[in-house]
Amino acid sequence: MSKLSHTHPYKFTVNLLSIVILFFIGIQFYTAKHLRGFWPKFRRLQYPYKLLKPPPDPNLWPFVSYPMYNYAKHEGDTIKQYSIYATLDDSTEVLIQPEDLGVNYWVFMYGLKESLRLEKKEMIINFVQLYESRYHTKIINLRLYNYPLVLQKDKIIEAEPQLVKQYPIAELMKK
Amino acid sequence: MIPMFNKLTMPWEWWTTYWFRLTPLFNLAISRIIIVGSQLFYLLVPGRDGTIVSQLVNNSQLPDFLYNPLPILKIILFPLELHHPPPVVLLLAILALTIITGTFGLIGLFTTLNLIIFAIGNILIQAYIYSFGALYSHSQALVMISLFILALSPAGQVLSLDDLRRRIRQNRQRKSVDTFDIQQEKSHLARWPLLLIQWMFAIIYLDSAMSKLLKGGLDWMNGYTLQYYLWQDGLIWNRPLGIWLAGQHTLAILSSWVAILFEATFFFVLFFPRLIWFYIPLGICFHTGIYIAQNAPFLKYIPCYSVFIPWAELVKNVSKRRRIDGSTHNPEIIYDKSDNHCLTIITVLSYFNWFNRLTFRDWQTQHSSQSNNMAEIALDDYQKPLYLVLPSGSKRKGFLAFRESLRYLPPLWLLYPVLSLPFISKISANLYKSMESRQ
Repeated sequence: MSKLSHTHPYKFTVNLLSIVILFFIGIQFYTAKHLRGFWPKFRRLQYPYKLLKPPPDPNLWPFVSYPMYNYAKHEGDTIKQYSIYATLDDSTEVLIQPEDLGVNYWVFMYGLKESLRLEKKEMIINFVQLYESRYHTKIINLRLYNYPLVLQKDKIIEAEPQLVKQYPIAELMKK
Repeated sequence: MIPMFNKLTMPWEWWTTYWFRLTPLFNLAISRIIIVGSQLFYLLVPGRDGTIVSQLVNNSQLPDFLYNPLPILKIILFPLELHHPPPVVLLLAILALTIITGTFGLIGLFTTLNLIIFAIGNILIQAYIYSFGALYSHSQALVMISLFILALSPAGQVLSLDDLRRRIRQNRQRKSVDTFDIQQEKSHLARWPLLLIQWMFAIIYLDSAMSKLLKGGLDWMNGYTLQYYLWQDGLIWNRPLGIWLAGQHTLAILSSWVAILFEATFFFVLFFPRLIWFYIPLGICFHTGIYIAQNAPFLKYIPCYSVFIPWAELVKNVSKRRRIDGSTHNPEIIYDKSDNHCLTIITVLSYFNWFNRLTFRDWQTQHSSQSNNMAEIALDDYQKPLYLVLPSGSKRKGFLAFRESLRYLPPLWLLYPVLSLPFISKISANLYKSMESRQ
C-alpha cells in the first residue's frame, strides 16, 4: 500500500510508455531477420536463437523485414522476363496480361506467374477459371515463357526464349 | 543495499533521461502535420497503382481465392465477425472516416482521438490492399508504425486548434494577450515518439544493408548487381533514367557503395544527431533516385524524416539571424484588450508569430508609454479595436490590418493571396465587421 501511495501519475505514464517503446523496438528487431546475424555464436545462446525465429513476412505487418534487391549479380547473369500464353479451345494463342484477369502487376506476378513456376496446381486452376469466366471461353493449355536478357558491362543482349512450364489444363483438372 | 540499488537505478535514470528528456512540443507537432498531411495526400491523390478508392473497388471485385487477409486485418475486423473480404461499401465508409479524422488530426481538432482512428483506418485500408498479394507491403509499413506512434503521443499539444482554442479562452478570461513562444514550450513526453520513429528507421536500414551483405557479400557492390535491378525495374515500369543508369557500370559501382554505406551506417544519427544534415539530404536523394529510376515507392519515407529535424531550433535560429541582420523594425499591432473579438484575432496572430515579425501593444496600458506609432495615431483611432502600423508609417485598420499582418507570418502566408481575391475579400471583410459589431 505504501509503495502505491508513492506512485506519481507521471511515473506511471513513463513506465507505460517504456513498455510501448520496448514493444515497438523489440518487435521490429524480431522481424528484422538479417540482424540475427549479430546474435552471439555461443552454444548456450543457440536455443533462444532458434526459439525466437520470426514468422514469415508479412505475418507481423506492419513490422516486416527488408530483404529487397539483396542477391548479388554478375556479368552474364540473365534478367528473367516472363510471359504467359494460353491456348484456347478454338486453337487461338493469347498472351495473358494482368488486365485480362482484372488484377494488378503484383497479384499477377506473385499469383499466376509464381503458381505456374512453382506448380501450385490449385491456384493455376483458380486463375484459369477466372479467365474463362471473364471471357466465356475455355483454356486448354497454359505456358510460361522466359525471354531472358543477358547482363553485360554496359548493355543487355537478348538470349533464346525458354519454355519454363507447360500445363495441359485437362490433365491438371484430373489430378 | 545501496550499491545494488544504484546498479538498478542508474540504467533506469539513463533510460528515462534518454527517452523522456524535455523537448520542444513544436518538433513533434510539425512532424505530425507533415506525416499526417502527406498520408492524406497519399489517400487522395493517384499513385503508382491508381487511387486508393480504385484499389479498394478493384480488389473488392477479385475472386475470394486471392484473398489472404493479413493477421492484423483479421484482428481489426474480428469484432465484425467477417469471414469473407469486407464489402466495398464498408471499406469506402472506412476510407471516408479515415480522411475526415486525418484532416481533424492535421489541424489538431480532438487530435489524439482523431489520430488514433486515422492510424487504425490507414492500417486497415493498407492491410486490406496487401491481402491480395503481400510481397510488396514494405513501403507503407514504416508510415503505419509512425502514425500509430504519433497517435499515442502529445502531438496535438501545440500547433493545433485544440491548443489555439484553449489559449483564446484563457486570454478572453484574463482580458489580456499572454505573449507566448510556442517553439520553446517543452514536455517530457515530446521526445520519445520522435526518437522511436528514428529507431525504426535505423533498424530498417540496417536490416536492409545486412540482407544485402549477408546474401551478396562484397559482390553486391560490383556494379552488375545494381545494373541488373535497374534493367529489371526500368523495363517493367518503363523508366528511362533507370534504363540509362543501368548502362553506366562505373556509376553503378559508385551508387552501390553509397547505398550500402548509407543503409549500414544510418544508425549513427541516433548517437550523433548533427549527422542528420548529411544523412537526411542523402536519404531524400536516395529515395527520390530509386523512385525515378525504379519506380520504388519509398518516397513516403521522406515526410517521416521530419522526426529528425529540430524544428524549434531552426525557427529560433532564423529569428535570431533576422535580429542580427538588423531587420528588427517590426510592424506594430495596436489593439483594444477590452474587446473579445480583438483578443481572439491577436491570439491567432501571436500563435503564428514564430519569427517575431510582429510587435503587439494594447493601447489601454501602452499609450502612456508613448511609442512613436502611438503618438501618430489620433485618440479617435484608438477606438478601432485593431490597428496595424507598418515600418513605412502607413496604417491599416480592422480587417485590412488583419489581412496585412498575414504577410509577416510565414505559416499563414497562403491565406494572404486567398483573402486578397476580390470576392473572398469582400465576404471576409463583411464577416469580420459583423463579428466586430457583435462584440
